[in-house]
Amino acid sequence: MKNINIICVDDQSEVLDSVIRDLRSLEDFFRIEGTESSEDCLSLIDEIDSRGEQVGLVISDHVMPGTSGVELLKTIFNDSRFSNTKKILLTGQANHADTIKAINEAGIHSYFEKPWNAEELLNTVKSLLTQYILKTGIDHTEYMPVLDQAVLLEYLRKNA
Amino acid sequence: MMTKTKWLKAIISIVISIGFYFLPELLGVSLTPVEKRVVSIFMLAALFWILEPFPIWTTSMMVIVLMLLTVSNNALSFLKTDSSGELFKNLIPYKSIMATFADPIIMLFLGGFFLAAASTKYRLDMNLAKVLLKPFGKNPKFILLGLMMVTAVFSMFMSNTATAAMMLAILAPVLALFDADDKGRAAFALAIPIAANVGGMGTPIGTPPNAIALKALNSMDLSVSFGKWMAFGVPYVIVLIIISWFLLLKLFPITKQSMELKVGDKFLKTPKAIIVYITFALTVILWVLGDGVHGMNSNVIAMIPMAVFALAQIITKDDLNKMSWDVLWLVAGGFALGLGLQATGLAQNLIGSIAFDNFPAMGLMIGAGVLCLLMANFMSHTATASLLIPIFAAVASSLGGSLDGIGGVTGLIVSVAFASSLGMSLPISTPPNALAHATGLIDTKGMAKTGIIIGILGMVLTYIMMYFLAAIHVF
Amino acid sequence: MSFNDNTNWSFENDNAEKQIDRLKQLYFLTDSASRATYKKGKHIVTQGALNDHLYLVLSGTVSGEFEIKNFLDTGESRSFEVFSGSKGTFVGVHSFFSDPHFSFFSVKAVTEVEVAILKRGTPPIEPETYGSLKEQFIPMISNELVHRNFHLLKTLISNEQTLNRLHRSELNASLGQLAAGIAHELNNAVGVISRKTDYISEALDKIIATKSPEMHSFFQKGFLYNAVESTEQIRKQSRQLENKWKLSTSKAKILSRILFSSPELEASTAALLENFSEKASYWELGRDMRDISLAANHSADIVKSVRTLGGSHVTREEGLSIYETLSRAIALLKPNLGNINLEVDLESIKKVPLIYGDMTEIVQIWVNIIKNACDAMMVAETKDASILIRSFYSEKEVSVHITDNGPGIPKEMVDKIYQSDFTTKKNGLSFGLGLGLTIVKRIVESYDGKIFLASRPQKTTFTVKLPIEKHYEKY
Repeated sequence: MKNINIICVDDQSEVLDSVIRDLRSLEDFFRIEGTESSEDCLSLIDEIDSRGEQVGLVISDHVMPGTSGVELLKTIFNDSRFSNTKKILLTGQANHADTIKAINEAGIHSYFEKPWNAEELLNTVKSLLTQYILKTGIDHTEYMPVLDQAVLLEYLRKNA
Repeated sequence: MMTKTKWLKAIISIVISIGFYFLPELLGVSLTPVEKRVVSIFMLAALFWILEPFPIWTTSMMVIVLMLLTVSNNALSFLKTDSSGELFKNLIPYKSIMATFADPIIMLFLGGFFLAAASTKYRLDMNLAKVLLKPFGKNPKFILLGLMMVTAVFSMFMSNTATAAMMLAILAPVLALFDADDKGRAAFALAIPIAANVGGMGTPIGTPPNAIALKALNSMDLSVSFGKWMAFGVPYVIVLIIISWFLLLKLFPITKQSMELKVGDKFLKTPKAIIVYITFALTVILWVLGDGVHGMNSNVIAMIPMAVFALAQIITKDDLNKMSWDVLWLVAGGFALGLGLQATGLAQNLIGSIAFDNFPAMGLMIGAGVLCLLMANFMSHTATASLLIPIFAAVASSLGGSLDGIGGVTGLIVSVAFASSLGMSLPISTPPNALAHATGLIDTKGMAKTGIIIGILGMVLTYIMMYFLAAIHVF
Repeated sequence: MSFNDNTNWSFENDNAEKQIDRLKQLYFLTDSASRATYKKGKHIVTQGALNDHLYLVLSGTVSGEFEIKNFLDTGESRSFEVFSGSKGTFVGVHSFFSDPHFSFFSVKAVTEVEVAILKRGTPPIEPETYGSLKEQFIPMISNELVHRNFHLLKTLISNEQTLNRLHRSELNASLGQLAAGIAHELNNAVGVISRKTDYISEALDKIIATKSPEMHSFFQKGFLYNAVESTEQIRKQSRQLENKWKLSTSKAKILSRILFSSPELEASTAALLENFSEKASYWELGRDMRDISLAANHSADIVKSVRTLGGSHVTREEGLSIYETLSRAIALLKPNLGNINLEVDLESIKKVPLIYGDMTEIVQIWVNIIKNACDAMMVAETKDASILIRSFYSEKEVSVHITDNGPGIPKEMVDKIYQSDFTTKKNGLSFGLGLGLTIVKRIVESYDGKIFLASRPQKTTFTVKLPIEKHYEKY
């Protein structure tokens, strides 16, 4: 169990800590990691992949020293190893052009503005991970308590 | 990825199964090496299905492959001959083992999958639910009954899981409007898996245990037609649903006065949608009429919607790939186990060594039901049926006429199949139970209480029905 | 853009020039032509008066003025320049050739002016070839018209530029005021948060010390936690701890942080893990308090900086620390730095002696220079963009060097960067505080300081020198 990783990226450690804390209720089912830069995140997902684990979701800030969040998510989007990985942009500072790029070129699945609502973030994360699990064919019964009901039920109506 | 516990379970299962190879000898029962191998494979399947170190359908696949390698006429050469180099007499033709996956009953199920997939795709399920739920008004009590009836009806043709998923999705937004302390929420959440499980008993294609039972009956030339199954199955389902409804209202009284379900929209009127409606109706009508009227048996009829939907591109290649092939493999594995028991002569040998003749028929029937119900609560219904039905089929055939008063061999096998569908007291008992439990509206205790009562009442009702059916010489 | 430099306003026409030259030679520059001299300020023609002379300016400067008696209902009269001219300019063109011969505007001698005069009624020369007098003068008339139009156009454009400049500086000023206003409002709120956070941490510290003394050290460790290790180190270590001690990921991470900050506890990890859930939550509580108080102080700093920046009171005093002005400027800019790496040579800056000056003004200098560098690098998408701030001092002055590795400022632009209407920004202001480099220069010069720019690609340095002592009076 705990083969699916959630990776949070934010250069501000206090913010990173808050994101991870908001997702703590998922800790029994997913491995939740934090990195403080895009570069660190890329080397981490490499490591995760080489261990044979999966990257289910990346939640990234946008404005960071070095590679920006949108660039990071774009890199992940274009990496065939992570083609199913869900991506959330969590930022207070992306402008219109960044946002367009994030959607068109990085294929983000959700956009959150800072400050974010913890419950909303958690629900979105659950829903995206449910989609991830169903899409990748991982046995969903092991994740039952944290799955998004609506997504799961709709899937099972069509596929059971 | 396998965790340590799973590896441990797998290893323990393998060790015990190997141990079982030597057990008959220790007990003084003499079996041929081929029969002993079947005993081991059977035990391995049973343990894998109970402990689940692997997904259950993979165990089925393993059963088929292990049988091909060890007990078929195309097995590894050193396993085909005894110490003197003589070929074993009871090896199973490898084609028969492979044929389990192309069994007519598998095709019958696949036909059911096509019907379900097409009606989901064209939203026939949702829209039909809307029409069917309308007469039940706005009183939560009657809506509960309506939901159970609709769920049961759908579950006769769709998988129990898909039906439960659909109905829970309809319910979820409405239940959110209930007061947090309204016990009625639990009644609704529980009603769905109960009705889905019970409804599956209504038709041969309702749930895989029925397939296992049909297969066992077929192999003894005691075939039950689609129409005949429905003739007793549907009334049974209706009575059990009403009993369950009373029970739920008693255990979880609803305080909310009025509610409204929002489900479905307009029926699609595209040519493809109309083809789905007509084909669905026609297939069911042909099934109910039976070969006495039109000459086609239910397995053949099941192929009609497949061809129609495929040609009309209602079911595309993608849809075809998304069918629950795992369920078919699971059932095929069950068939293979039954085949192993019968074709090697193992069943006869074992039954012969135990003096079943002296067993009271009624006791045997109840014993079988209790054992089956118990197992079905903790493991897959299909796996339970796969393990128990071949054994009880053999036992029943050895009993001869003493079972006649309670439905004979057919009665026993159908009641074992029913018992395996009645295991629904735990979240792990069935996927619909797991879904209902995951809503968070029903605790394990409430589910257990209701599930046990309905399981027992269901069994009692089964026996009464068998007695009645025997009395009017249906079986 | 300044239109004098870049625009080709050439409308000269050789053929017309020749014809006009002929006219001048034949009618004005003959010995018989009458001449007159006007003293400075005298009217050659007067607005509204009759005029039957055509004048050619031989020397001096004239200016055509249109007078409005009651300008914008103010009761005052205002004159607007319509054209200006010197040697070669014709005066009285309109009134001489039009009918009736009233002058449309006045023409004044700006310096002493000598003119040659052509009287109405003078017979045309060579009429058989060149036509009537009017016809002969047409090239001159049209030429004159073009000149006057051009003059008006120039005025119009220059007005437009003035307006733009005015608008921009007003926008800057009002954004600055707006920011200062908001900062003023926030000041109280942030002050309360900051103060009360301190109270709460102190109170919590005391409560925990008395109520659960065994947890106190964990609260304190959390409160004083200051990450020295990288997240990667934490991740690696916590993964080991997780496996070794069977902890959840989040607990393992806390344990890892505790062990990093207090390595002496490593030997007694087993004891540390007793009741670890509670210890971990106290540690987290401590760290949360630390985060809150850091954030509160940070907000208070920003508010303070914005207030100083937008403030209009300038009080230059002895003892201003360059270090503090730079810290404020950086605090203010931090949210806008994006991915630009800001290196501050604290060692060199802390050594600098205190100066005589006003906090607001000096902060303005840094903010504007740094912001300018950031903008240039963002527009140019400079890779690994960084800004280095260093400081030096001599007996009399301190100098601050702000260096960026952006694209540099081209030589031809160097002289213009301090002009208030100079900008390379495409879409206006991204940061509304201050007036850019214009204000920087103005402030620096008001201190008798100097600002230098040395620029080449990848290295642009602004050097600001400010005198240490008060050896100037004006500001």
